[in-house]
Amino acid sequence: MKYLDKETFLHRLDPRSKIILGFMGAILIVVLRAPIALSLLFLTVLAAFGYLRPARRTVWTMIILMATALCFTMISQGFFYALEPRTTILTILTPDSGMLGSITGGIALYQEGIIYGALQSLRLFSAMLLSGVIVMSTYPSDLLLGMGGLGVPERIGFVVTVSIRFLPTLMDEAGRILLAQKLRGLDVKGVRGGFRAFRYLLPPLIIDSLRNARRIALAAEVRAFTGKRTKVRELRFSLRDWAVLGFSAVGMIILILYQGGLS
Amino acid sequence: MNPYIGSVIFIVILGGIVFHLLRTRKAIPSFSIQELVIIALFCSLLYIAILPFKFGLSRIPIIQSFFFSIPYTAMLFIGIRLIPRAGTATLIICGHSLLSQTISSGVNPLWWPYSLMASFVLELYFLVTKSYLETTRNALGAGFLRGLTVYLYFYCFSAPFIWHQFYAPWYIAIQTAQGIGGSMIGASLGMYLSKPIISASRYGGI
Repeated sequence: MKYLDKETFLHRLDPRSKIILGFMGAILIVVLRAPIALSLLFLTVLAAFGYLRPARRTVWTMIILMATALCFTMISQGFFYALEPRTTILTILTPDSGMLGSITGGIALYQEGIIYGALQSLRLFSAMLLSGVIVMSTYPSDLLLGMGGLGVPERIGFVVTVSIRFLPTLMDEAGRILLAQKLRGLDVKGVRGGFRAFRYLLPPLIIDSLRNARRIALAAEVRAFTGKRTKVRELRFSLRDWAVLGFSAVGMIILILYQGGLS
Repeated sequence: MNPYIGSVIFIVILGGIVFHLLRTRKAIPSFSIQELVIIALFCSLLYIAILPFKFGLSRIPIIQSFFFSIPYTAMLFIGIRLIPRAGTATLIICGHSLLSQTISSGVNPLWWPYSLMASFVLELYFLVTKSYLETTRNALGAGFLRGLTVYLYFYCFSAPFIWHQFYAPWYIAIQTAQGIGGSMIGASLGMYLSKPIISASRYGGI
């Protein structure tokens, strides 16, 4: 998922507001239990996601990720569902079928578990979409600025900024080293090949990157850089931010208090 | 799990995180710019190292914990061996988590306690053993502890209380055992790979 360069209402919100909205979403994901309340949360986040009009590729990636998560959650909860009553659809192991049966206490697929898994997937979907909305509507440096504004130490912000800068260089360098190793006859096919590539790639990649890192650090130190950065852009809370946060906080409280009535 | 035991675990975890944050906040300003840039490098390396596993082997259910732990632990331990001091593990783990959340997976506060927990356990281990992966035994112990706490935290706390999902005790045991195994293999791989890197860093004129 990448930042979308657009001028929407969500883009104009202060990054801190979006991080706080993320926290509110996280609270709702943990606290909500009623299926209708969970569906409401999911639909709200889905609407925000749709409002940003992401590229078709992003939408497809999201659909694939969500379908995979749905399948895995339905299957896992179908097998591990622990509440009563539960209706067995398929028995794989009975508790009295040897040692495996006695260790596992029997393995069966439960109908209620599959439904429960599908409902609980809404939590995962809401979290995935909400995270996506924040990333797609906030430029990475603004996100770090917002985190700094909310108390994340500046040096952690500095570490993340520098690591973002390192990524493309490292990818290029890794590709080059791997190509050189392949030309020398390194077989990288299969699981064993993957681990072999990992072993032969790492030392030269890290040693070369350390050289780069020291050069960057030296350049920063000779300019008397201490980890504190002056800000080109100052973050300011506007009326829009207060309104969105206030509206969301009220919505969150109502949803938590009245979710019992929705079930 | 009994809600009472769950809340006690939650309080212990939260207390540990707060204590850990306070300790790290003191440690962070003492890092030089060079050390911070090297830590940033390891955050990126961690991101790249687990990419093939994130989309490949770790998607396979039942065995994902094992394959995911190996490159993660190996890379993390190389970083800690290069900057052996309090706060390095926290900065690499939390920096990597923030990096992947900022550029790909999206900002999700529900994963923040997970990173803090993973780093808290390692910092505490280093503080108690007074060794920053100086011996293979120490590294294997750190790998064991990392695998144990990270997977137990996920399956016993994060899954039932945050994601409201059930897992059978035998499944949790299998996943945790794999996490421990993978982390210990990763730890020894990290020790093995860090030797030429540390030599080059100290005596190779990098």
